[in-house]
This record gives sequence, C-alpha cells and structure tokens, in this order.
Amino acid sequence: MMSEKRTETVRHIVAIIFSFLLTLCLAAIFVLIGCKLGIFNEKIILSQLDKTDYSNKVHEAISSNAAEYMMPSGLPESILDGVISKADVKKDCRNAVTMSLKGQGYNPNFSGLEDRFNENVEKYMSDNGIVVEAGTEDGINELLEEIKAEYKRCLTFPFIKYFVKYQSAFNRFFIFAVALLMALTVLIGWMLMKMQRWPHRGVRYISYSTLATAIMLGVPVGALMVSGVHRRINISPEYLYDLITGVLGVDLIVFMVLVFVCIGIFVAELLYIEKLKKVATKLRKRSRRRE
Amino acid sequence: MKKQSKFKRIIEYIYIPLLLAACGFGIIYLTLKPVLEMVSSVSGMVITQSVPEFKTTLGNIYDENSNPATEGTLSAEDIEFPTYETCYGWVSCDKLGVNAPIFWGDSERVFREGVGQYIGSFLPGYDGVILLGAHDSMYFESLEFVEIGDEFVVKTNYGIYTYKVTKTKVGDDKDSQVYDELAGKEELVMYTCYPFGALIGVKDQRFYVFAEKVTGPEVVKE
Repeated sequence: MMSEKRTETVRHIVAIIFSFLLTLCLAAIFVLIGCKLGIFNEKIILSQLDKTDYSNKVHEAISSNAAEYMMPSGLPESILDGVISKADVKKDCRNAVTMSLKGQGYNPNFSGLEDRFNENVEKYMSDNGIVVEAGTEDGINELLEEIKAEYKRCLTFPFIKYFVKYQSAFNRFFIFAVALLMALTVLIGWMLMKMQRWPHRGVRYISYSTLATAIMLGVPVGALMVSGVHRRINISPEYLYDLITGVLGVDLIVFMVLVFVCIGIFVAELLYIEKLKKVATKLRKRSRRRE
Repeated sequence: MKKQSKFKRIIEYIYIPLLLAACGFGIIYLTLKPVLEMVSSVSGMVITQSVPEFKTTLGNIYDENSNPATEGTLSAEDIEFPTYETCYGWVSCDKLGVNAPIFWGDSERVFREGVGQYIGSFLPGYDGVILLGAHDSMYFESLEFVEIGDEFVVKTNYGIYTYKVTKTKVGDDKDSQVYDELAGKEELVMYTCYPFGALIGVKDQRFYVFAEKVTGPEVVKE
C-alpha cells in the first residue's frame, strides 16, 4: 500500500516535470507563430498605411517643410500650389514601403513635380515682370533640389531596413524551430500518456501545460496592452509614430488571439478528458464484472 | 468523497498551471538576466513616461496683461525661462511698423510665426547680446528703412526694455564674427536676409541692426 502510494507520487512528480517541459515547448511554438503572424508580418505594415492615413500625413509634412524652404527664397508660398500632389505622395509612400520590404531602394519620379514647380515659377515671374538673373535661376534650381530631397526624406521609413534584416533571419530558422518543437511536443505528450494507467490522466497533464502556456503568453501581452507602453514610444514625426504604434497594436492583438486559441485548446482537452473518463469508467465496470 | 475528489481536481487545475507558468517565467528571467540591464537602458531611451504630444502650434508664455517693470532690478529666480519654440515676448517699433512675437529658438517653424531668438544669446535684462532674426519678406520687412536713433521696444512678462539703434551693417551670411557675443554689455542685434526683396540665388548676405539698451530692469542672479 505504501509503495503503491510512493510510486503514484513519483509518477505524479515526473509527470509534472514533463508537463513543465511541454509548457516551455508550447509557449515557444506560440511565440514563434505570433512573431510570424504578427511582428514579422509585412501585411500588417501595409494595411496600417491606409488605416493610419499615412500618405496624407506625409503629404502634409512635405508641403509644410517645402513651404519653410520657400520663406527665405523671396518667392511666395503660392508657388507650391498643386506642385506636391496627394496622389503622387500616396503612390510613392506605398512604393517606398513595398520596395524597402523587399530590401530595395526606391527613387520617386520627380518629373511631374519639377514641371509643375517650374511652371508656377515662370508664371509668377512673368505676372510680376521679374527678370530672372543667372544667380536667381541657380537659386531656384537649388530650391527645387532641396524640396525634392525633403520629399524623398519624408518617404523614408527608417526602421524598415532593420525589420527586413531580422525578418529574413527569423524566416530562416522558423520552420526548423517549429518542426523541432512540434516533434518534442508530440514526444512529451506521448510519454505523458504512456506513463499513466488511464489515458484521461495523461491528457490532464497535457491540459495543465496548455493552460500554463496561455498564462505565460497572456500575462505579458495583457500587461503590455493595459499599460499602453507601445503608445509611449519616442518616435517622430507624428505620421511615423502613428504607423509604428498602429503596427505594434495589431501585433499585440495577434498574440492575444493566440492566447484565446490556447484557451480554446484547453477547453477542448477538458471535454476530451470527460469523454475518456466515461470510457475508462465503462472499462472499469466491465473488468469488475468479469472478476 | 466524489465532491472532495472534484474539489481537489479544480484546485489542481488552478495551482499546477500557475506553478508551471511561474517556473517558466523564472527560467526566462534567469536566461535573459545578463541582457536585462542593457535592454532596460535601451528601452529607457526609446520609451517615454507618457504618450508623446505632437504640438502643431508653438508654445506661449507671454502674457500681454502682465505688469512688467520698466526699471530697477529683478531676481533671476522669479523669471520663467522659455522652452524651445516658445513665445516669451514682443518686439515693436512704431516708426517702422515692426510688431512681432519673439520666440526662443530660430527654427524655420518659428520664422513662420514671428521673430526667432538664437538660444546661445541672452534674454533682455541679462546684460548680454540679444540676437533676433526674421525673414525680410515677413516680420523684419521694414528693417530696410531703419535709421540711427530709432527705438525698439521689447516687452516680456518681467520687464519692458527700450533699445536705441547705434549702427547697421551688411555681412556675409556665413560670417560669425559680425557681432561680439562676449561684448559684456546689453545689446539688441536684429538681422534679416539681404539684399531686401531679392530672390533666392542672390540673397547670400545678412543685414544687421545694432541697438544699445536705454531703459529696462536689470536681472540679477542671487
């Protein structure tokens, strides 16, 4: 009787240790899947471009910064009317981000901007009877180059090269890591089932691991969402801040969905345990009848 | 017996997963402990205490209804120092029609809204050079017609200062020796682009107006 109890205790402790290892494997699998679907998912970045009205904000920034270049030039701000087109900025923003995600650079086509700017300058000069000197023409060309450089600078997404670098490193080892972890998970699960006399007890230990995984994922993600730390990131200008915080917000939601998936698996395991218990009860009754 | 067993099961479903999760967090903490300090210091630079504010308007501490002194001494501790891109005063000249807010800082954003002050210069009353700049197409347009003896008034929350023009000078836009920052006397130096009304490409000089302090309280540090 004592040795049976001792055997049972030792079996329980060993099962808890295997449960712990299973918890670590499951947590790692869910974190890797979360990173694949969330953090390193470029579709989230592209979708947030529209949701945060990124291109319109970039257009405002380019227009405002270009107007500041006009001030010391002696030319009125009205010269910029219609020069920086919203449609062009929207197209260039999307292209710049898409090309950067492919690890390539992007050079916007400035021919339309140049034509409109030069047209406005010529009209202003002729309307005001101003004769363009050689120095003035050089100055106007220099001003145009500054506006073009500012346009290109506003399109630049500084963090994307790091994203591409870490995404490619992650993708290289993701499948291998998930496959290895899945194999370990199946092995540990099988050992837990084999250790127990009744299958529902084995599944019970697996369910402990599943719930522990949900806790391990849910607590930090929940804490980050509640504290709003992703909104306290020191990034400027505002359009970049809105985009980055939008992306991070969606990433947290992805992880939270995985937490609920984990809880769903736990609930399914509970139902399965009940089903196996009924089968075990029937088998036990049958074997007692035979005795 | 059955009830006890069920209760025991429920308790096991609470403490065992919590125990496993706690052990998991412990393992993660021990694994990441060597890099935690580095991560914490990096995150301290990237994450702020509160959600950042992106102000579209410039700050303003100037109160036109304040009761500033016109003479005597003031304690520096009683004076609110402006932050960058904040309006702290007003410069005017009735004869020339100059009437503009003064901002601490000389960014392009400031030049759109008023007169910008170089932050390496002094506030009025501090016995140093006060360097103010603005575009010739905007707030300093009428500096073109300034004459020796014209008076400029600078109003702040703490004092009203009068400066009399002593000289004007044209200098290269890259010349940093035009005025003496360490002259040891209070002097208002205003500058704008030169030639007046010229277009870009030929406007590579600056027009300077120097004005000495006539009246206004002195600020003393205790």
